[in-house]
Parts: sequence; C-alpha cells; structure tokens
Amino acid sequence: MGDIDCRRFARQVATHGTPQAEGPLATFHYYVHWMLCAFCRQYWRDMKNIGEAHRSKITEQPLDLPTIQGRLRHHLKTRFPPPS
Amino acid sequence: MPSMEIAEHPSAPVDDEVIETLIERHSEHLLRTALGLGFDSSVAEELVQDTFVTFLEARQRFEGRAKLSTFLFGILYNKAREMRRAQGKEPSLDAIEEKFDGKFIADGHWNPALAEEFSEPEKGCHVAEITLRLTQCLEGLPLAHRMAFTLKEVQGLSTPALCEALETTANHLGVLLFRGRNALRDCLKAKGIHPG
Repeated sequence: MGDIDCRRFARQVATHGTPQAEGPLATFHYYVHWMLCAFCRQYWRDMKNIGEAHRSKITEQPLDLPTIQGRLRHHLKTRFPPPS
Repeated sequence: MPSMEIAEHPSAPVDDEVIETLIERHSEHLLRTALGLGFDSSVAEELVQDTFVTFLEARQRFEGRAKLSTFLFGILYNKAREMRRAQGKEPSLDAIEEKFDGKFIADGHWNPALAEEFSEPEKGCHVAEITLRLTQCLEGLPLAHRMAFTLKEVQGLSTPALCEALETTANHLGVLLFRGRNALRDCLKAKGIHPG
C-alpha cells in the first residue's frame, strides 16, 4: 500500500504526527498509504483524538486567572522589591 | 518592557514593568502546561512562581537565542522534575517498543489477529469520553514523556523549540513522543476506550 508499510506509517504518526519533511515523494507515499489502509487511518485517528482530548482538557479548564496572577504579582514584587 | 529587552539588559534591576510583562505574557501558558503534567492547581501555581523566580534570579543565562517562552518552559520542566524526584520512582515505558512491534506481522502489516486494536467506527468514542480516562492514563507516563506530549499537543511547540525546552535531541524527542502516545493509546484501550 504505497511504498511504506503499516509499521513504518504507525511509527511516523506516533513520532511526528504528520509526514516528516523527507521530501515530496516520501510525503506522497505516506498519504497514499493513509488513503489505502483503513487500519492505519484508524490508528492515525486514535492519535489525533488523544492529542485533541488532552488539548481541550487543558485549554478549556476554567482558571481564576486574575486571582492567580495577583498572587504571582504579590510574591514576585515582595521577592524583588523595586530598587530604592 | 518587551520580553526580548529583558534579555538585552540582564543586569538591569527587576522592576514592576518586568514582572508585569512576565506575568501577563507567560503565566497562563506556563500554568496550563503544569496542569497538563498532572499537577493540581495549587502545585501548578507554585511551579510557575518558582519558574519566574528562577528566571529573574538568573536571567543573564537567557541569551536570547530561543524564544523566552521556550526558555521558561525549560525552567518549568526542571522544577517539575525536582518535585517528581522528591515524590519517588517514576513509571517506565521500556516495554512499549516490544509491544508496538508485536502488533505487526513480518511484512509490516497490522496483525489481523489483534482485533481489539481496531474498533468499528460506530464504537469510536467522543473526545469528551477520552478526556475522562486520559487523566488516569497520563499518570502512567514518566514526566519527560508527559512534558513532550503536553508541549507538543497543548502549546504547539515546534521540534527545535521542544528540543531546546527539554534539552534533548530530535531523535530522543521522537522516542519520547512515540512511547508516550502509544502508552496512552494502549492504556485507553485497556480501559475500553476506543479513541478513533
């Protein structure tokens, strides 16, 4: 399925997420394999969704940023008082 | 004072403007990165505080070759490592490579006998369901793998920036991401979650 096997495709996805900049021919073979192999497409989807789940969990977590930043500000200004 | 000017004047006193700039530009993504490492909100805040203090005390070391945010991520990572070291032994992912290779047959195709590797599309889980279990699975990752995964997926750092922050090579970074992602996938599947 293209000039790349499933093991190599899966290793590429888990390591780099997308085809490395190995040149247009390598990128072409990667995408041909992606189109032809349902198992590898599923593996790619698995990794994509795992990344997306982690990203959404962290970026959407509510934070009381003004209060936290206030505490940081107070600590740093106490630790580093302005020069007299 | 723009972030880069902090580097251009390393011996200049730390004034309110420097502190405000640091906090406004960098506190949120440092905090969210610390949360992504699995620390609770109070510990995450403590790590960010320590990161800023360390930077301000030793900002002469920041030579401006990398972005300031990358440098700060590096300090955060070192602070997190110190904290984890004090908490005890880290999990190991040494078996991941062998487990991964075992999923393929000799010609490089997926082993069709491992049906549990692949769910039918209608059994795939929504991102929200994955998120619930992901926290548990992240606890099974060593800190280096968690940091690489979080900086890559949450902060979107490039490979050179990641290598700078983690003080590692591109090859080793690849190993961290490969093992971390596969460990998370295997863990989720063991919990009956099909992420795809």
